[in-house]
Amino acid sequence: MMRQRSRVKAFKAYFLYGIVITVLLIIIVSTVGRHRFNAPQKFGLDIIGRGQYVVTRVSGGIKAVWQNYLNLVNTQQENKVLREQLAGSTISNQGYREAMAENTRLRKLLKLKDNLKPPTISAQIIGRDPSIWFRTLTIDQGSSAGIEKGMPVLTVEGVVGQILETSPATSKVLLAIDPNSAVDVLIQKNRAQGILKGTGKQQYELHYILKNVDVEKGDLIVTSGLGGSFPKGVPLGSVSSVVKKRRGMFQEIEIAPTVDFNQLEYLIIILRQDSLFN
Amino acid sequence: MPCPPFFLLAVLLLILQTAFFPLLPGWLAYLDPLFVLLVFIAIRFDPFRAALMVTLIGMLLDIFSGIFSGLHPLTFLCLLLLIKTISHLLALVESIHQVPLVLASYIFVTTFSYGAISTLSPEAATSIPWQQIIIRLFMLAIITMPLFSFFDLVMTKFTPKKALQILIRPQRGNRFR
Repeated sequence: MMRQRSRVKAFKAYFLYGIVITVLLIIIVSTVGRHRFNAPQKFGLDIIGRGQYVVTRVSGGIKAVWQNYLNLVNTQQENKVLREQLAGSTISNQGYREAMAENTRLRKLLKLKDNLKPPTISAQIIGRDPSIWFRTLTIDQGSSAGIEKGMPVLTVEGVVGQILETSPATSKVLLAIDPNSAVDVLIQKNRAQGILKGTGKQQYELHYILKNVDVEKGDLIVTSGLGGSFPKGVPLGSVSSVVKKRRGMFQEIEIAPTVDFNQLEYLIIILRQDSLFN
Repeated sequence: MPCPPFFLLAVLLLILQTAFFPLLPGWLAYLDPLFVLLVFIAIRFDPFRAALMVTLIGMLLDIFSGIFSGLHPLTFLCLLLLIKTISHLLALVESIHQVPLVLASYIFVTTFSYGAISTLSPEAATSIPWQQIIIRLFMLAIITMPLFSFFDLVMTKFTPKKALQILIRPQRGNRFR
């Protein structure tokens, strides 16, 4: 009788655990593959993003103090030269500002709103993807700064990726080297069009370039501007190897990125044209 | 078993793992203490609480890692199921099993993730980064035992004394029969 009771008790416990785990599995499986963040996920991105920001600032501060200590030698001489350069730059900067303000005012007067360059915003990287399968970043600017899904992310060297998700204070960036990233590109010298795919490593693969197209090591790859995500002519990388196999229509081309993805710190996000007027 | 302190610990480890460790030089960037915490929870917590915790941690990781929602909770629940099944056969609470168990769990999670990603996004399938996996396994082997001791300490600190007395009370009868 006692054994039967304990069996019933154990069965009840297993049944309860089974139900809970099944419900959890149903909820999770129903969301697998969904690409949009829901409200709790945006909240999580915001809250933990603030923690990441604090940690980044503190570690950045410690790093800066160490760098300052190392660079102490010859600082005085360098400081003098830089001060002179800064004085010169400040004067010319004031001139440029004046000219820019006048230019903007005149363009508005001429109703050249559509020809204005899209506004940009800079952001600091506050987090990196810990996984070995994905290449994403978290940055310290979000939808409250005008950032939206799909906006291009660049550095002065070239394309970094595009915005994947946003919350009010932070955003997630899909790097161009992620295997899930694909960018429409051109070979600059002959305007041949292809698709640049990430490999998960520090290189890209260029797809759909026919065998009769002349491609050589060192050729520059730029964005085509098709699809509307990226502006035309932004550099992505240069050809590092070309293989023409006997079978198949296309060449196998590897591209070395212009951007060093291990050294990224600050990024530029190109906002939409209308963000300037909102 | 205290869930909130361990959840806060998971958040702290996630922040360190995404914002601080990548700045460290060399192999230190591959430290993965959050994974050790997951295995610890799977071993030490009862099935219901462990399922809840690994699902929550998985959901958090989904926000900061990867592009597919639900991938991490699903992987971690499968890992939990595997560990709970094995724990019926082996005395997994013993420290001698900790390192091999964490390493085997990491290999399982890596294999499962690769299979899931290849299924969800076949056009983005890449080669397996063996070098990174081996370095991470090596780092996990180093940090597992100290972290388990630390997590045990946290658990002792936050478990109510009454519950602890029930857990560590002398067992009656022949337990080795």
